[in-house]
Amino acid sequence: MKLVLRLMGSLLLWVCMASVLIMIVLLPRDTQSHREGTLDVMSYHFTWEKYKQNITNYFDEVKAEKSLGITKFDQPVEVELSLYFKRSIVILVPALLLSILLGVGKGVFDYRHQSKVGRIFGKGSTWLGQSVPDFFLIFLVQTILSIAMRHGFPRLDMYGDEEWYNIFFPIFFLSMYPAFVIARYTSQALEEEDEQDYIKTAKAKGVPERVILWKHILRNAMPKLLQHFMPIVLTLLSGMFVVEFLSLYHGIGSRLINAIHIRYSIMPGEPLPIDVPAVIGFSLLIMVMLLIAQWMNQIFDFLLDPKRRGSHE
Amino acid sequence: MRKIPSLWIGIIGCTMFAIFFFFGPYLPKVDKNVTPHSYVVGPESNLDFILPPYVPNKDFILGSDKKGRDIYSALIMGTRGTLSTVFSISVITFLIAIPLGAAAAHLSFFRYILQGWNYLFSRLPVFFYVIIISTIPFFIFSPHRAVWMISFLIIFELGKVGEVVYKSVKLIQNTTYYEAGILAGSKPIGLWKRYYWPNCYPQWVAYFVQHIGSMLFLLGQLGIFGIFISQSLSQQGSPAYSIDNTALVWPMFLFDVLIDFDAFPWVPLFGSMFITLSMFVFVSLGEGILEYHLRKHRGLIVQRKPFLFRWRKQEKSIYKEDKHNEAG
Repeated sequence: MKLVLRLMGSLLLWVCMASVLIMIVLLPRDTQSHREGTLDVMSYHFTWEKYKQNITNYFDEVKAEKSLGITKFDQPVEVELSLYFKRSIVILVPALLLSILLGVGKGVFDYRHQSKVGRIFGKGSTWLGQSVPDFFLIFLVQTILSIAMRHGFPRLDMYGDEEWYNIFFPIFFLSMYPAFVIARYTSQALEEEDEQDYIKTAKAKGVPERVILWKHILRNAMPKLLQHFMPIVLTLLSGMFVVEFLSLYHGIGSRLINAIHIRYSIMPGEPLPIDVPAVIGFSLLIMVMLLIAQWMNQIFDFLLDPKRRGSHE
Repeated sequence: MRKIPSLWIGIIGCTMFAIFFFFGPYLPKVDKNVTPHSYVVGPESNLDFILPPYVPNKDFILGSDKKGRDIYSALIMGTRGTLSTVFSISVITFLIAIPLGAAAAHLSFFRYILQGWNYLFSRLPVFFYVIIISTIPFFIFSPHRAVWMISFLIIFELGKVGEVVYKSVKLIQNTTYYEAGILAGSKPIGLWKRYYWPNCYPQWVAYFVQHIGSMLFLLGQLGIFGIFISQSLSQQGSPAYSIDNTALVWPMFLFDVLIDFDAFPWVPLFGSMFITLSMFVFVSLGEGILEYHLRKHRGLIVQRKPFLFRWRKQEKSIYKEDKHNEAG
């Protein structure tokens, strides 16, 4: 019951945030300009009438078409959403799983190898990994591969999304940074659990060290690690924009960037429109994914709560 | 201190960046104005003009960009702009977040504010918020765009940092020695001075340093899409006005990367390498500070007696006792 209430709470907040977001996207984007000598002075004047008109127009269209709108490619948003969602989810979910797997493995490795040499390969490499932003990793790998290809390395198809194997590079780029962050959290949590009494008891009883590590310590560190689940998902999603853009993988991220029309030049007095239906559609899609992640987080949190288990038994 | 390599790496790296920050213009081979070169005369000086960008060579150690600006000079001269932007974001965020987080641990009113703030701004990627907001025409034309962008970043980060502060204060409130402090009649100022601050500040300092690193990451990501903190409009030839990045910052070399990368990979590579390097320095400094305090906490680092005489009442009395004991 408590769980259901919490899930409903997240849903309610989600609805609030989604409506705020839609309101921001629907802001009027007309600009004005007048000439002062040789310069055009451009400015932006917000008017409530225009804003109201924008909002009613959009919602009338939604009601009439029974769809979120038509994008500039003359497609209903839903069609595009399902196409790009399929593309992005096949890199997002594997990247999340891979980063959790690699991260926990690396964290345990760091925890177990605390000797002088072990520290360099363990914790030292974790710092290094944490300070490599995804874009630098992409540039580095591309440079190294292009040099290698010039010297006889087989040609790899790194860019685009035409072939099924194109997903491997984005998954790799996307999962590296979160993996190292998870590794740090894991080794930190393990070290905090390390000195607890129940570990000493287990050691005194003669439980093998491997069992203590995987069954006792890691099991108890789980709730602590779960606290970092949402930040990791957020990092993954913001990495998605960069990775998709740089590896020319046309998923949600690069489509949304495309729809937002980031301007590099302006004609004086022209409106600065964005592809409103597409921006609303793709933002809502990203928010739905985050809501699902939030729900998963809450459900796991509920299942892993030791107090609940105690009351059951 | 000797045994914590991460602290050393952090300190040495920070010193390096501090030198770039303060003495950048006076370093050897640095072109103070980062002048664009539209051509360079060839080695034979028989009037063969070489157009930019230049491959890394003797004159341009790290090469040059499309406008012929020396990347080495631009990166070193850009240290000031980049780090001061990032620093101001982090400092202001922490200055607001620490009182907010500490207050939230005491008063439920602030607790609700912090929670609501988190619900609003920490549930979506900051990057996503920034790209949506930075394309609103008002912020494109505003002459105070830098101020607006920095304040938005502060607003988006505040909830996250406040939550960390709140949690660390709450952790201390659950300990028994804190209860003992309350029983002994400590006033809020005393609690702050003797209970929260000594235990929390290593964590906060470490988090602050890492926060600077993550802000650099974010600015780099935004730079790839051509969104900069400070922009201006300028007209060159055509009736359209181009939106240019005005500040000399590291992420500016990441812009246009899809076009640049195949032809002259050194431009984005060295630009992002500087970001990576500084993030590494900040991350290891943060880790080092935490490690140092952990060891100090466990008693592995012994504080030596002060070499010079210090005006401290307590220590003075201890010395007197020592002398007294020795004499006795």
